[in-house]
Amino acid sequence: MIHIEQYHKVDSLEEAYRLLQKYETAVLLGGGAWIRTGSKPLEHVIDLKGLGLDTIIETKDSLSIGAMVSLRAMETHAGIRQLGGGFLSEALSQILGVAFRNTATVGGSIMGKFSFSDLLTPLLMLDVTLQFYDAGPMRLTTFLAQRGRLKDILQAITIEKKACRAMFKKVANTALDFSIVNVAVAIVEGRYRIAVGARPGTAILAESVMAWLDTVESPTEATWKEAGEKVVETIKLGTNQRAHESYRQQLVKTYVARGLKEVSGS
Amino acid sequence: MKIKFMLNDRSQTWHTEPGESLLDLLRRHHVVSVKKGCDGSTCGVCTVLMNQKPVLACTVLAVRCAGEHIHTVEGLADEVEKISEAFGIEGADQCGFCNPGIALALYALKAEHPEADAAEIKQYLEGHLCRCSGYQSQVKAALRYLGEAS
Ligand SMILES: Cc1cc2nc3c(=O)[nH]c(=O)nc-3n(C[C@H](O)[C@H](O)[C@H](O)COP(=O)(O)OP(=O)(O)OC[C@H]3O[C@@H](n4cnc5c(N)ncnc54)[C@H](O)[C@@H]3O)c2cc1C
Ligand code: FES
Ligand code: FES
Repeated sequence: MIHIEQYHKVDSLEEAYRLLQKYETAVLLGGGAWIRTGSKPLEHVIDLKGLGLDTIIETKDSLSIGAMVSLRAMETHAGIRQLGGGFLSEALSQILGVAFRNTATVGGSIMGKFSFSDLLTPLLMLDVTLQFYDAGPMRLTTFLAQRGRLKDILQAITIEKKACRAMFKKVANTALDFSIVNVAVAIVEGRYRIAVGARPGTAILAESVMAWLDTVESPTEATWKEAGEKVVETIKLGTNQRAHESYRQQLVKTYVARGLKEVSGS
Repeated sequence: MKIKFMLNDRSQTWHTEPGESLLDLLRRHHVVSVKKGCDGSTCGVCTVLMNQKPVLACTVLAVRCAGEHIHTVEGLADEVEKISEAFGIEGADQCGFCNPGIALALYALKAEHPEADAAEIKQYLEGHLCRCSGYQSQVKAALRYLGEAS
């Protein structure tokens, strides 16, 4: 059992935000799956359930996913399944089991900025804006680049629908393990995107390699291989208890090249 | 604090602490079909249905169940009987520790996707660890159960 000193059931986002600012140590409760793993007593927990953050709204141009939408609801949504050939649903389906994904939320998964995340890496293939209660809209890339804790409430994420072909690869020892490394590759409106996560650092775009690929006129098999090599030269990969840096380098080279081949249809 | 919720279609008002998991709450009240394995979201033996969807009782805080409908195998006797029969025929039932969780997952799968094939069943049961069966017999039992149900 985790120790929670004060549990706040609130009626509005205004109240949740006020309490979040009032108490230095306040924690927002998404699905609670990650919070539960901590051993420190929690002084103030503010529950975000029942505040209307659990819907997915689809329009012609975008998908807006509430922060309290479960990973499973996101994975099985028809509009999400259609994005980039279903790579995002495929990525979500690889996070533990169905029963877990019915509890863990999109908001908790983004705000945790988990280095092992199998959601952040594929999301970097898309144009994603986070909607915060106080800070308003913020690009996912800006949020990921920020250091320190943002004391705000994530209300929803908005994904712009764009013509996209994408793939996601999670490398893990078993289906229930954290990623040793993960890779997402896409062609979005004719331009390349590559992201690497569980490096073991948080997911990041290989921007210089993406820009280089956009300049290659007739890419061949050799281009994909070269791109894989450039990615490991430009993105920092490291060693932790799950894998050595050199093993991650081999994996990233291989899956970037395979991914580019797959999405380019060559 | 007190929470009021429906457990197996009966209203219950139970005392809980804000940090208590649904798993601990249920087991304190002798609902022991819900097993405690890893207590850390990775084995599936604590699965229950919350508003007809499978969730891990060790992962859900009990306070979050206020006003919700929780089902365990005790509350789904008829359907669980059919699942047990399929398990028996296919030899999917050995020590039985994982079975209540898997039975509830299969119940939910039937509602969600009754035509699921072997690969889809396998994927749906990811997260349910079994130390005895080797999983093949459970997939066969699931196919039998879904086949008989349709
Ligand atoms: C055992 C285990 C294994 C896992 N394996 C994987 C894996 O393989 N791949 C993977 O990608 N993920 C994995 N995860 C992470 C999981 O998918 C979720 O990302 C994680 O549980 C957080 O989601 P949650 O809803 O439970 O968040 P919570 O635990 O509720 O919250 C997490 C953090 O986010 C904050 N927060 C929550 N919602 C908001 C909001 N709306 N606005 C602002 N802050 C908010 C909380 O205050 C907290 O700091 C794993 C988690 C566990 C416990
Ligand atoms: S006891 Fe809940 S998943 Fe293992
Ligand atoms: S039958 Fe023994 S754990 Fe599954």
